[in-house]
Amino acid sequence: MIEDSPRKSRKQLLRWATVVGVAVAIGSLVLVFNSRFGVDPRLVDSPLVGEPVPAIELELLTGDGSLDFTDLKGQVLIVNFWASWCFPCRGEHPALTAVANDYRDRGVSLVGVIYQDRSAEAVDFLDELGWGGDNYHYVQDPGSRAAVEFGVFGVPETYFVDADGIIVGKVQGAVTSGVLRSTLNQILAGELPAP
Amino acid sequence: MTALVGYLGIMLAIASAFILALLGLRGLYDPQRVPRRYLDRAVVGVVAGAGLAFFALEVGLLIDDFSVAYIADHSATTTPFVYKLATGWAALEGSIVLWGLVLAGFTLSVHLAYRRSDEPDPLWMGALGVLGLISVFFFGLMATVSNPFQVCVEAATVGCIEASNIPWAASMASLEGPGPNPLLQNHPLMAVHPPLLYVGYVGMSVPFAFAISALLRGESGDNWLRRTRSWTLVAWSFLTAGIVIGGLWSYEVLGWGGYWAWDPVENASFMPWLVATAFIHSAVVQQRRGMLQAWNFVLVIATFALTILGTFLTRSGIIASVHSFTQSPIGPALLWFLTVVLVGSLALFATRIHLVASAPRLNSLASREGAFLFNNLLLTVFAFVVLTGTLYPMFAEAISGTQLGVGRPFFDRLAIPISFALLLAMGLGPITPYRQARASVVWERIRTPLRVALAVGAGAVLLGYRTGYLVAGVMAGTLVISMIVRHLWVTARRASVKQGTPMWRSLGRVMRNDPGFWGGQISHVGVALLAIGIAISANQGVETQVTLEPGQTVEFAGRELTHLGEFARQEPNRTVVGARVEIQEDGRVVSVLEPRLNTYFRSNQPVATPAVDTRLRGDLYLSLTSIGSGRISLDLFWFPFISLIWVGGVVAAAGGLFARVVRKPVRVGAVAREAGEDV
Repeated sequence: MIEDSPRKSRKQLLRWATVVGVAVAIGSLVLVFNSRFGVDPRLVDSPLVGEPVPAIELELLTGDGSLDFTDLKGQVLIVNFWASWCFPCRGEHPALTAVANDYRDRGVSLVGVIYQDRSAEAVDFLDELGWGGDNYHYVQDPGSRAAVEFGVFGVPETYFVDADGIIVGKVQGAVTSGVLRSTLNQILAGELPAP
Repeated sequence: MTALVGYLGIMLAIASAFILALLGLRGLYDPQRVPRRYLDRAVVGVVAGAGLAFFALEVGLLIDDFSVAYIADHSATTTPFVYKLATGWAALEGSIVLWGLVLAGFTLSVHLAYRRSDEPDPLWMGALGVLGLISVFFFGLMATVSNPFQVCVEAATVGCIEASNIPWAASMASLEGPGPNPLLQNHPLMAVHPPLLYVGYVGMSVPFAFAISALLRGESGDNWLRRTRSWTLVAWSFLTAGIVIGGLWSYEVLGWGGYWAWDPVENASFMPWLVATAFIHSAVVQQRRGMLQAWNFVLVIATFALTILGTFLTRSGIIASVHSFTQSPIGPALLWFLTVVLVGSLALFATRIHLVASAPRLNSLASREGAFLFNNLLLTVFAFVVLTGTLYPMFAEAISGTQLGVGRPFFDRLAIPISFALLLAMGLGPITPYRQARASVVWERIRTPLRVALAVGAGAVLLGYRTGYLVAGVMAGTLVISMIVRHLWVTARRASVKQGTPMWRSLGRVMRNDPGFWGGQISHVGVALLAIGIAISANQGVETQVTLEPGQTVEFAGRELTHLGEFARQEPNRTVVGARVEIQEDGRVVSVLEPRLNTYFRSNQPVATPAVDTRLRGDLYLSLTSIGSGRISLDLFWFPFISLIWVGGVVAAAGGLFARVVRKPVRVGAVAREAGEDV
C-alpha cells in the first residue's frame, strides 16, 4: 500500500484538476452567456458609427417647420426609420414612445423618420399607436435623402447619436425596450455602447 | 376561455409533475413505499395537463381567438389551416407547449413500459422522478416567463399591445392578427421540421433520466443502458430526420441554394446529434464488453446538456440567426436550468464515479472496440469543434469587445477531414472482430469492397469529375456501402447454405436476427449516401445569374431556359408574382418552372420561393431575385445528385427505427436473456 500512495495522490490531483477545470469551463460559459442579456445581437457595426450625424433639414410630418439633426446637438438622439406598412415597426413603436417619455428629463430626444410612406398613413399609424411626448419628433423624408445618408438597409432601423452629434450605435430590425434603455444608459454615462 | 382552459392545463401539469418528482425520488430509495396507482395518477395528470394546454392553444388558433395575446400576435384569420396548426409551435411560447407535450408523451411511455412488472423497480421510479423534475421546469416556464396563454388586455387593430398573465383578466381582442412570420408559412415542411426535432431533443431526456437515476443509486452495470436503448434510438432517428428535413426546408424555401450554413442554431441541433451518435456506439461497447461505463454517463449527460444549450441559444435571443426568437426573460431561466443540469449531474457523476467506472480491458486497438473508441473520439472532437465555432464569437466579444463571425471556412476545414476519418471508421469498424482483429481477416473482408471503390473512383475521374474531394468522398462512400453489402451477402449465403433456404429469405432472416447491428448498417448506408450527395453537389454544382426579357432563352447546365412570361395571383393570405420558365433538354420540353415571390399580408418583404426541378441526375434550381416590366432576374443553380442527401438522411433515420422496431425472433436459449430487457 505504501508504494501505492504517490500514484494515488497523483490520481487524486488529476481528479481535482478535472473538477476545477470543468467548474471553470461551466462558470465562464455562464458568465459569457449572462453578459449577452440586454445586449441586442442586432446592434450592428456600421461604417457610420463614429461619424457625425448627417446635416439634413427635413420637413416635419405635421404642421409647418422643419428639423435639422445638427440643431439637436446637446441632446442624445434616437433616430428611428419606420413606415406604417412595416409590421415590425408596429411592434417596436410602444417601446420607443415609452423610452421617449421616461428619458425626457435626461436630455434624450427621438426622431422618427418615415421611410417610403405616405404621410396620411403615417399619421393614422401614430394616431393608433401613440405619438409620444414633445421630445418625439416625426419628419418626412421625400426621396429617401436621409435614409441614403444614414445608409438605411430596410426598416425598422435605429441609430443612436450622442450629445456631441456623433453616431454611436445602430440596430437593425425592431428594437426592444431593454436594448433602448441599456444603450441609452451607456451613452448617458459617457460610455460607448458595446456592439 | 381558451386562455383559462390552457392555463388550467399548465397548472395541472405542474402540480402532477411535482408530485411525480416527489414520488419517483422517494421510490428511488424505497420503492415499496410508493404504490403504483399513485404514480399512475401523477403521470396521467402530467399528460392530461400538457394535452389540455396544447389542445387549447390549437383550438384557439383555429377559431381565431385573438383575446389570447400569442394568437393575436402570431396568427391571422387568413392563415391557411395547416399553418394555423403550425403556428402553435412557430413562435417562442407555443414551441415550449409542444416541448411539454412531447415530454409528457415520453414520460407516459416510460411509465407504461414498466408499470406492470411486480418487482420493486427503483431505477425506473427514479427515472420517472427525474422526468418529473424536468417537466416541472418546462411547465413552470409556461406558467411564468413564457406564458402562451397571456390574455390581451389592450388590443390594436392588428395584434395585441399589452398582455396580462392573469388568465381571468378582462380581455380585449383585436380584429386581426399579423399572421406567422412569412418564412414560416411559405412551405409545409415547416409544420414537420420542428415537431420531429423536438421528439429528438426531448427523447434524449429519457436516457438522461435513467442515467441520473442509476448514478443516484450508485448502480453499476448496463441495466440503465439496456432499458433506455429504445428511446435513445427513437430520439436519434427523429433528431436525424428533423435535421435533414430542416436542411431540405432551407433549400426549398430560402432560395440561396444551400441547405446548411453552420448557423448557430443548426449547430445547436447538430451537436447533440453527434454526441448521441457517439453514445449509441459506446453503449454497444459497454453492453458487449463491459467497457466505457463511466464514459457513457458523460456522453448521456453531455447529450442532454447540449439539447438544453440548443434550446437556450435558440430561445434566449443572445445570437442573431434565422431561427432565433426575440429576447425575453426565458433566456435567464434557461441559463439557470442549464447551469443546474451541468453542475448537478457532473457533481453527482464525480461523487459516484468510483462506483460505476469499469476497469479498462482493451485487448488491442486493432479490434471492434478499438474502432468504436476511434469513432467516439472523432464524434466528440467533431462536436467540440462545432461547439467552439459556435461559442467563440460570443467569448471573443465578451473578452475583447470585437464583433466577429466564425464562417464556413472554419467549419468546413475541420469538418471535412473529420468526416472522412468517420467514413473510414464506419467502413472498417463493423467488419473488424471484437477483442483482437487479425490483419488477414480484415483484408479478406475489405478486398472486394476496396476494388469496387477504386473502380468507382476511376469511373468518376473518367467521367470528368476531377476534384480531389469529390473523388475521395465518392470512393469513401462507396467503400462503406460495398463493405456492408458484401458483409450482408456473405452472411446470408452462409445461412442459406447451412439451412437450405433460398437466398432472398436468408437476407431478411439475417437482418432480423440482429436488428441492432443491421439497423446500424442501414444508418451507415444512409450516412454514406448523404456523404456522396454532399461531395458531388458541393463540388460539381454550377451557379450563375441571368436577366431575361420575355421570350428570351439562355443556356445553362446543358439545358435551354426560356422566359415565357409573368403571372400574378391573389391568394387568401398572400400575393404571388412569378415567372414561367420553360426548360428544354435536347430540344424537348421537360418542364415549366415557376419561381415566385410571395408577399404576405402585413409584411412588405417579399419571400422568394425557388422552383426546383428534381431529377435523379440532379436538381435544377431557379430563384427569382427581381421581377417587373417583363424582365426577370434569376439565380440559377445546378446541383448534381443532391437528392442523395435527403434520401441518405431518411435512410439513416430509418436504420435507427429498424433497430428499434424489428423484433429478434426468440430462440430457446435466448429466452431468459431476452425476458429482462423486453420493453
